[in-house]
Amino acid sequence: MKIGIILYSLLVFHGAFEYKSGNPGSLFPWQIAVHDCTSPAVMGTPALLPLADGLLLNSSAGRPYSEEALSTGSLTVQYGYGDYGLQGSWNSFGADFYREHTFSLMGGYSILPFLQAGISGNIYMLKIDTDELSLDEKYADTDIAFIITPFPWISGAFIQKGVISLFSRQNSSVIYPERSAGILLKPGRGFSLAWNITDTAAGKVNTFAATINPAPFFSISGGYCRENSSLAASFGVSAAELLVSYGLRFHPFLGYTHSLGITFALNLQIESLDYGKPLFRRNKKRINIKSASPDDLKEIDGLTALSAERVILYREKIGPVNEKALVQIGLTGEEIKNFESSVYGLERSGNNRGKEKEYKKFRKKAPRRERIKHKFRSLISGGIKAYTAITYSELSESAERELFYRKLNDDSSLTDEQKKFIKTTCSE
Amino acid sequence: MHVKHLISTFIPSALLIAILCPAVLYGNNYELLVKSGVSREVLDYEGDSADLTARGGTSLNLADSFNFNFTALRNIDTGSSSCTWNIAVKNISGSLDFISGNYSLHFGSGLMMGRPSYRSSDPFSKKISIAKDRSISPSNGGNPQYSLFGTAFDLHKIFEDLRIDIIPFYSVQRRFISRDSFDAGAVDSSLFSLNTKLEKSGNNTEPVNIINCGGAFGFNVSDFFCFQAYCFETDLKGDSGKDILWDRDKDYGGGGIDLIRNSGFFAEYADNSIFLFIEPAVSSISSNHTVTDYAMSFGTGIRNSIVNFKLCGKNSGKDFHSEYSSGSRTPERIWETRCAVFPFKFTETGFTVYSEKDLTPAYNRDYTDGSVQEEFFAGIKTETIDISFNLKRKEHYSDSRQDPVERGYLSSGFFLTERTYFKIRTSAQKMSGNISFLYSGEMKIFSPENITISIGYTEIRITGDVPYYAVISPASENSSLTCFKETARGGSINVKYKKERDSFYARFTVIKTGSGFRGDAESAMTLFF
Repeated sequence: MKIGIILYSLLVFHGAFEYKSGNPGSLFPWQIAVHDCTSPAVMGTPALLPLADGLLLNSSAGRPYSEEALSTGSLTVQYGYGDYGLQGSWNSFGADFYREHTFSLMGGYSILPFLQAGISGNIYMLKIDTDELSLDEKYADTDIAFIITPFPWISGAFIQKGVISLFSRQNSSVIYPERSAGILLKPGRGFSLAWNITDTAAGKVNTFAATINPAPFFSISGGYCRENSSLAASFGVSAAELLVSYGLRFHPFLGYTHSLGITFALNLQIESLDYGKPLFRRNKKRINIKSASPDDLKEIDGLTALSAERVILYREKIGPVNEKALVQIGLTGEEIKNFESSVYGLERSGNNRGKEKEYKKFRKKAPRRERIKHKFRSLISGGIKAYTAITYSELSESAERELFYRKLNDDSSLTDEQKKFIKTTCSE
Repeated sequence: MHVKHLISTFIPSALLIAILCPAVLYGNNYELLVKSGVSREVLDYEGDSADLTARGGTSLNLADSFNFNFTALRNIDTGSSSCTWNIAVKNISGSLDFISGNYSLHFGSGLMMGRPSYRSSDPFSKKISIAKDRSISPSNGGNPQYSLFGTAFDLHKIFEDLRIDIIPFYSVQRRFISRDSFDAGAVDSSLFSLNTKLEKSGNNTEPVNIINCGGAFGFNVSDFFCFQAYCFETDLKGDSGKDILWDRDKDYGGGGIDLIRNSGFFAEYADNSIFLFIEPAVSSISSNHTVTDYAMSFGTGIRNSIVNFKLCGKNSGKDFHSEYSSGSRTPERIWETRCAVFPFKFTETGFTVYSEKDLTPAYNRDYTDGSVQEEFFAGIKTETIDISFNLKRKEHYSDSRQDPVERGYLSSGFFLTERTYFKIRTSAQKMSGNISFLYSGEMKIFSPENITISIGYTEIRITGDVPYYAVISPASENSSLTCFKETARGGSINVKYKKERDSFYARFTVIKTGSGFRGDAESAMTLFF
């Protein structure tokens, strides 16, 4: 019953030769203008042939819509060298009493670095042998295709199938002159996205496909057709010069299509993904900032040795490190982010409100170390660099008070205004 | 000792000790947060009505290792009150995290155990809820309806390139059913419906406990690979331990469900440009007989400076059930793909497709519904101007004919001066030949004193009887879409003050429809000490 519906609809509504390819990698059976070429592939359009590299042989077979009586098969020979590419193929689709054969010879040439073109000559053979109808017809037709690649990551493509059918009434009753336009995005190694709009006998169809090659021996493709909500997926596994691929399509009404392909290529290479860095360090043990050694701190991602030393110095000279302190000692935004996610025990900046006033009240009674800390904080908040602030806050509390004034007056790295500020702050 | 007495004596004492002792020990290394506010929110995700809600709460954090949260909530419209609280302690002996009180769990991608979120009835609000998240999160919203209540631990050990986590948990959610159901030992409703019965009301006078227990075992390898296996079970019992069945009317047989067991395995590879995960899971419903079925979630994505591509999906068997899923509890086949391309740094364009197909028909129906949602979007964003445009279409497959809904949206925002931002937006929605429109303008003034004032006007023109879901500009902080069934005009003013982490927010809205005027006010305050 189902096979009858499929073949009847093909003949009456669509015309013959609608089922373009049974190759697993082609995802959909109709013509598309552009598809992924990051792994050795049978080219669906002659304009892609300049991308072929060396010799490729492919054979595939499939069972459309899980229908036992239906089958597809194909054989392809491809050769590419420099700016040229050639491909000869045979495709077959149908059942015992209905069979379509398509012989195709394609040639492609890279006219300019950003422009490729191709042409193909096809012979279509249709054989019907039923009690009511017997037919054995041959048709010849040709296709033309172009691909423009303005940037390495984007290509635009167009293919016109059945150029003769476009003008000849005889051919057009059997072969629908499909045309398709598409965009291929290749934003990174081993990954591509394709969008094609194809004008088929049944109407315009949009297909979206994504190809990801997770490893140099493994490729996955997935696709979606908007108009009939059909989904398709395929994967390929390579070993030495051989690539075995399997494809599965799901049509909401007609069911599943299985296909299997085997490819031999002299230069078989699958362009694999570029893997990135970890999103965040999940396995790093968080460090207690109150007791971390300089070596521990240096293990924090992105924190330089100098910044680690400053953190230690701050902790020794002033006290617990807080968020504000990280800014003061010159850590960048990214360093602070990494720092906060890698440590615990970080003091909160907001908690010191009101403490300053309290401290002033008792600072006269405070020990020398506390007084140095207070002066350092005041200098830092006044815009003095950390190293300079440490030097002068310590000197001001040392026995050699004169050394403090002498060094300050001779310090050429400070402006007069800064010197005045340091003097006032440290004399409090 | 009776459970009620235990709760009334033990918990307050434990809280007092837990708060005061660390506060003394940790000196000034603490952080105290106080928050309060009034807002209009959807509290019951099954319904679609936003209630006026008052919320107040506090949070105490000691040295990043001890955390106490308490939030009380009052639904002003219905007069009901609720609260959530929890105590969380991190890094005990460097390898144990602990939480007690109201909390949420998220295992794997949330297929079996996750945190549900509200989706409005807006035709375009559906989105896939499959993503990795933190395993344990405290629930601080004040509404205990969608959180577990009990204890969870995270025992973790870190080796060179390996982190191992063991997460056991136990939860008892107290709910109320009718005396008749209690005596019969079975309730008609689902657990999800039972979850809403937080207090004694009407016939629902008998306390029962929804008990969840189980755990997860996971490990991360080399910061790239994450594996997690989990299992847990859900049961309903009375205080005395009496078994109560639920979903009495469902087709599982045996007069209701006695126990649900869930288990799954999550495997993920993720770095800063690629992610790939898969999560197979099994649910087993015990009634007179046991019904077991599977589900699987999957996802992959690639992100770099040119493209952001993501594909996620879920497929399940017809008898699969996931009561605590972050998405739907019922069997379904869904997938979503989003592809955004950045031809230049300041531009973005792409598409989103979301497809959904139920696998079991709704009550009294014999057709399984489905829908496909498509979106094309484009945008330009620079420091001074922000233009975004999208076209959406949703087609619904059902035995009752329903026309597709189409919506177009265009917005443009730009800085008039350094401190004045202006935004206009317009949108049109088409369904069954009726076109409804939205026009909106909004101005935002940023004062140097950390105050932002936003004023906006929105007009919605409805044609036909198709409702339009929209917000009155400027949007509320707890923005949930309002359903407009008739032509409306509205104005709103927002005032926001934010200094460091302290903030204050107030919003006043007036809406005029054919039925009259409606006013609304919202506010929120957060203070850190």
